[in-house]
Amino acid sequence: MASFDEKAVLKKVFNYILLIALAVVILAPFFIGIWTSFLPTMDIAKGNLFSTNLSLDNYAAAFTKTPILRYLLNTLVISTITMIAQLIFCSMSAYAFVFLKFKFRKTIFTLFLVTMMLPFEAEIIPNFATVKQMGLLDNYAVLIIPFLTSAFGTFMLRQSFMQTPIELKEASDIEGLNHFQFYWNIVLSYNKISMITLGAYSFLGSWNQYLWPMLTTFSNNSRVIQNGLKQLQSEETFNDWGMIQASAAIIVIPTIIVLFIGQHYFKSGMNEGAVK
Amino acid sequence: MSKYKKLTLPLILILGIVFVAVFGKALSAKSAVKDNRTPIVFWHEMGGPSEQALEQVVDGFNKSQNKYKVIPKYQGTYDEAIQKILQTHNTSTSPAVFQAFDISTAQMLHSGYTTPVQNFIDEDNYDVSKISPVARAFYSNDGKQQAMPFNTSQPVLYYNASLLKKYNITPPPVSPSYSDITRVAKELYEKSGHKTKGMTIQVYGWFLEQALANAGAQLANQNDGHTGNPTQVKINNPDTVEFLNWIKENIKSGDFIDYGSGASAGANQTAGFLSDKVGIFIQSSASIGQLTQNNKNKLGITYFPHPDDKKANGVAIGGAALWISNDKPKNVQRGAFEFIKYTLKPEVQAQWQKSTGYLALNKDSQKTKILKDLYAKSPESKVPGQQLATAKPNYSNSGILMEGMQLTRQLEEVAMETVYNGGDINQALNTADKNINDNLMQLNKANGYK
Repeated sequence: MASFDEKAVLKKVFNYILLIALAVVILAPFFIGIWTSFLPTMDIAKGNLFSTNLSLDNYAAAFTKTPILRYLLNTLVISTITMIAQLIFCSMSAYAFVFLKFKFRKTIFTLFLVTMMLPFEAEIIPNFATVKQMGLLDNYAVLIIPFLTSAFGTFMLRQSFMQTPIELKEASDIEGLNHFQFYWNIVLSYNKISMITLGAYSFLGSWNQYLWPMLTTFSNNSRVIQNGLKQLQSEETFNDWGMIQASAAIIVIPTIIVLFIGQHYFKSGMNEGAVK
Repeated sequence: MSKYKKLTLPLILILGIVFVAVFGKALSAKSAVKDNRTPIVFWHEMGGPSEQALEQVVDGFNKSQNKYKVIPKYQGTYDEAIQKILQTHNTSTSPAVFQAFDISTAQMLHSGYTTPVQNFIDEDNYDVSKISPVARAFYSNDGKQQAMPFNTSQPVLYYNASLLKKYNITPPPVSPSYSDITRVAKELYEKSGHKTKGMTIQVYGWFLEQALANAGAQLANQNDGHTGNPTQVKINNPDTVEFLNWIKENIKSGDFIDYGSGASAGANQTAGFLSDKVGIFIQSSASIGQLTQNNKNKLGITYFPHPDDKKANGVAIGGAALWISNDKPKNVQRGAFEFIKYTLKPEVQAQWQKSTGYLALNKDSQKTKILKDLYAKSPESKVPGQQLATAKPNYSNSGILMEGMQLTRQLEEVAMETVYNGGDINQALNTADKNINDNLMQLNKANGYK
């Protein structure tokens, strides 16, 4: 009896040690980053991590000396519009692929999937030439229009819509709902969780873009936050590492908020299904 | 309630679109200049504190006259900006004047997208003799000044003067030879009880090229590209071997520390130097700001070291130059040149050196109060400028005018890394030679140079 308990306790202790070790490995860089954002640059340059000269000076410098607020606003507008547009267009096309019967449905869907196989980086040259010809360079439009819809979003929502019970469709046909009413009132609310997942995914994807905005924006007015972070760093001369680290911390905050909101919905979504 | 809920999504969407429409308009209105001065769009790659220093220069110019207005726009790293400049040429967004880095000179020249500044120098009878000849030589071709050097740095050797004094070690001379440095590095390592490593040299192709320049050797044929397009590179030559042997000797005696390559290596080695972990390192003169601010140790600076049996030939410059695009009307190009002239004024250059660490290019800058005060406060900051002034330009120390320099540097770094990790020098250099030449041949073929 006693030996059994010992074994169980040992197992638990071992499990927790393992979990703590893994947590430290994963979280350490994050916390070191936050910690250094409070340190003066000289201590960072010297590698003196255990300095006690903590202050909020770096944050004050980031907000007052750099256009980081402008970049945050730019990114927020672009990411929000991209997210809403993707939710609407992807869900509509997914609805068509699931609930409408038309010729070549499978072929067209395969074509959709083909575009998913091609990474965006591989399409950059033709895309750049297109937006250059359209005169969209250095504008919000160039950061939004190419991302209004995504094949991945359509694919993901189609898989989810296919789980919608066909009885719902039959019932709504009897009730006399048209396609748009069925889509808006039933399909969307039934697949809320997938919609939120896609929303969070496309928001973060847009928030973290670097290569495309770097190529297509030329001025502070349309610059997004990830490129703005690079701008704080000079190539050969003196760098204010503390301020750069503080800005990086500021940039992470909105993504964490999105994740928290997303998580809250995931939980409530799961509960809804369980309590019938 | 549910009635309103239904409306939220479309409402947000419509609001968003309206917002973009209004905002986008406001944006384009903002970037258009309100006053009737000719706008001169200026693309640059100065981030962080040097961007603020650059904006000071631009403000000074804009206040100095009422015909032109320079609009500075940051474009990312040097490498990224080159592509943007080449790809947007002939569009309304392209710049009138832009900053392009040293190793892209051949690429810019061959693009045919630029107006040589020589045209304007001739028109104005502008006196260039005040501007550092070594820096000018780097950006000239066919006897014409193609671009005007702007932010200019040279590699120098930094040492920890306080540590040397503490252990009673004679500091190296102002223009040291390889063995001078070896002596100091070994003494420092031994006398500090192996606590402080003697020296480091970052795995950086630029340093290898500078070692060749300082030895008076050339990397590419056609006089490093100054008398024609290079077709052959020979990195495996006695001077490279001597440079690498020098490093290898120090690695063997244990006083050398390897920080690797890339930007983080630069930051790590600076951290090591500031915390007394290493006593000597080579870096761009532009790093001086980081090493003097709040550094409790006294800083020592010397010229780039040279081989024992040779006199120092002088090193080439690094940094970037200002180019004028030829897709803009004549008056805009003229405005661009007026701005370039302004950036080269003695006081502007002096202030630029003080706030960034890049070297003042105008000889008269040394006489200004700004620099005199700076030198009085920290006498060692005079050394990089002296190194620049002493060098006489020749084909070896005027940079390598060759396309594909970015890849060439990477391959040089692979060779250095191999040697640092105990590889055979000859073999590493032969591999580099072969790969660089293969790439060069392909580039020349693709570009249609004979």
